[in-house]
Amino acid sequence: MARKKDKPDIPPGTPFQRVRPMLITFFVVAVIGPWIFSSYWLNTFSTVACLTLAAGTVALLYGQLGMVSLAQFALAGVGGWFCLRLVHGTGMPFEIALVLGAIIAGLFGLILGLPALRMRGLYLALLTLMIAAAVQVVFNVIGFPDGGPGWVGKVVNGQRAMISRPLLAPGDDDYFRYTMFWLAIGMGLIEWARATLPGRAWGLIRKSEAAAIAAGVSVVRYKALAFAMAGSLAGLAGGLLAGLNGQLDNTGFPVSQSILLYALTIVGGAYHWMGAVFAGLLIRALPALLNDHGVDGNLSNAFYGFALLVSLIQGRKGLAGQLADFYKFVRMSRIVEGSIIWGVISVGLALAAVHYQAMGFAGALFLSLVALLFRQAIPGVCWLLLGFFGKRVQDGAEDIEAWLSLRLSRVISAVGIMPDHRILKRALNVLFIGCFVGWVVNGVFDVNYAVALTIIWASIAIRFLIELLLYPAILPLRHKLDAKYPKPFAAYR
Amino acid sequence: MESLLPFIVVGISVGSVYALSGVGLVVLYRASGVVNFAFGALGGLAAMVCWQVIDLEYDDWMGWVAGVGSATLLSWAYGRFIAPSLTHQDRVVRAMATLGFALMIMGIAQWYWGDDPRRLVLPTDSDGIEFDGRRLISHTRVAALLFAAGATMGMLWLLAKTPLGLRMRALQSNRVLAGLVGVRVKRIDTWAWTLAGLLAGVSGLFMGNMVRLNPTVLTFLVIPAMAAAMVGRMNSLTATVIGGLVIGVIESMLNLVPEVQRYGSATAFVVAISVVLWQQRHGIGLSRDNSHLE
Repeated sequence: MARKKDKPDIPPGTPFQRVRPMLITFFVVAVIGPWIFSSYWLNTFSTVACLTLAAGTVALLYGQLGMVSLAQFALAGVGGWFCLRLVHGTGMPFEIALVLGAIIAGLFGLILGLPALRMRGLYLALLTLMIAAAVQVVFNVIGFPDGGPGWVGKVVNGQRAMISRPLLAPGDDDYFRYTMFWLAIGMGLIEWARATLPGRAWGLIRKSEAAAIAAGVSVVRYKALAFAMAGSLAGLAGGLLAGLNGQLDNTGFPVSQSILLYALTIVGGAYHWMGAVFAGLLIRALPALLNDHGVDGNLSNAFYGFALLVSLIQGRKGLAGQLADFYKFVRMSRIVEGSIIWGVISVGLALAAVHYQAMGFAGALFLSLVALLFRQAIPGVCWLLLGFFGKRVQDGAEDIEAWLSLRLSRVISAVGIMPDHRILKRALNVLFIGCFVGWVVNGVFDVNYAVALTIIWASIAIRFLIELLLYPAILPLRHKLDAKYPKPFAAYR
Repeated sequence: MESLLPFIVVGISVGSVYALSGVGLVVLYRASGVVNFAFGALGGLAAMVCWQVIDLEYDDWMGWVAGVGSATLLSWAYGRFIAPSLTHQDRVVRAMATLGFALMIMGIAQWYWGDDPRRLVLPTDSDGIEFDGRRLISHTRVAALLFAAGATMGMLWLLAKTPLGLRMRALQSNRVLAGLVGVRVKRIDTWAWTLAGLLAGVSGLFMGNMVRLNPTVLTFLVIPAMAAAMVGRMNSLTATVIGGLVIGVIESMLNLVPEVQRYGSATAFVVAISVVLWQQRHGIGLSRDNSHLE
């Protein structure tokens, strides 16, 4: 019996409408990225883009079909291997080798998927784990091609040859845009498939294979399609990694990375494209950041383990799902209002920062955006972490905070100021986001910690002041917009 | 045959450690349906703690007790406090949660102890069995074999003859029905976790002695152990032990063939993949594939 409130697996909108926000985001990042980041961070983010694509394939298999493949990073290695071999062996252009490498990796993925046609769940996960481990041993022995002789193409003693960057993208910033282009194609394919016939078939297969067969869906064909797609896109990611450095390291595709890729895809969220982006950032950018701050990278492993536990216990939507849920209910009026206020504040602060020569214009703009955009979402993550200790702890913390806030606001109102009744929560949020974002920016842009903190807190404070002072003027506008667009923003996509 | 004997003996001694770990994995899987990715990490922690205690110049036995004890304690804590909140999830999720636990232990151990070269010396290292005047296998390896045999016998006896084993088998058959007839599901689960932690600690000490004393390396040794357990379909203790021993022997024998010698460490995985594919052709799946009843 179908329940009335059963939500469809696929959100409304034509396929293009569903893919559009992602493509726009990637485009904007590809354009802006090279302006704000240094060469070191650009290369890091190129790697992040490759890993995002690989994580996207994990999410495709897990989110759409509920299948765990722990061998996706090994498949990226396969794609990279063939890409390098083709370029060294035939001297063909990088793009053709990239696509051919991806196709070969897709074939490998298909072979990997064959047992999956009859296998489900845990056994498949273990089987792919064994395959990833075996692939790691093979790579350790034969190595990656570097212009040597023979079938393997490995130089025994001597200079390792590197492949040159593609003609289109010789520099670091070009290559970043180049990777983003391929990422947009790869993720676009995945999202497109999810929004159209294959996505519906996968959804049905995940619910029940028997139902899918009864409905005339070819289980074999669509499972094979998923594995071939996942394999070839992972191979594409591997080829792009090979192009980034011109060579690949023998130990670059260990089974531990395949496992970590899966874990972080779950942490990021397997049901939304943002989840893959989070996974890419966590797997490569966060350790780089920690390294910048002199924190041991091993601690990030411990943190990932904790985050994986939390997101599995908390339900399986991951960070991306949390964010999407959060913004699902945001009204249109608030978005318009927020972007205008952000524009005013950030441009003003960025001009001020340039005037006092504290930091660059783009950096300040970015900082103020993050501060305003995430001023509620990041504490949400803390809230999530608190939930790890159980609902009771979460509620208890909330109670204590509310009680203290109430006392505090009574004291303040005695002075004659109208206080916020959740004053402590707000204050903690602001404190936390300042320290956290400041810490990140300090590593990425080498911005002075004090300057970053000033900009973040100033933008939040100005926003607060604007709301406080202009409230009578804003309110009618808000009502007018609400009357015109009564539903939340997500409904108008 | 005479020249093969040393390789077989060495292979059996290596394989016995895989078998010991495999038994720990299977016991937990049978009772609680969790594939424990943290098995290697717990073993690694045991080895590191043991090394630390001995390094602080306490007695050897204190180190062993501290190492195995810490692994057992952590495993108990996971089974008691974290695993219950995941019981309603499917088995893939429960397995992946232990992966999170493994990453936590591994990250913290690797951060605390780092990559310095160390050695965990057991008193059984100094003597061994000789072949043709060369010392081939140390008494530590003999001890590992004895422990594997002992653990298997012990677990078989426990499952077959004791009230605890009876309840574990009830959980294996069907958790919900077992709960309905009065089996204290959580308590039995916790017992299974404690036993698994104990086995993890012991096999971790042996691994740390024989392979390399490094938390990350020891953590990922869970994968060959899992290969042994997969040969036994995560169900049969005997098949798991045989699987572990066969893997060890093949790995050791490959040293005789120079062409494939360097691929030797892939033996466990290739064996596991072949066995799984063979089982599939004959319609044999993973045990406990009755998750629709849970």
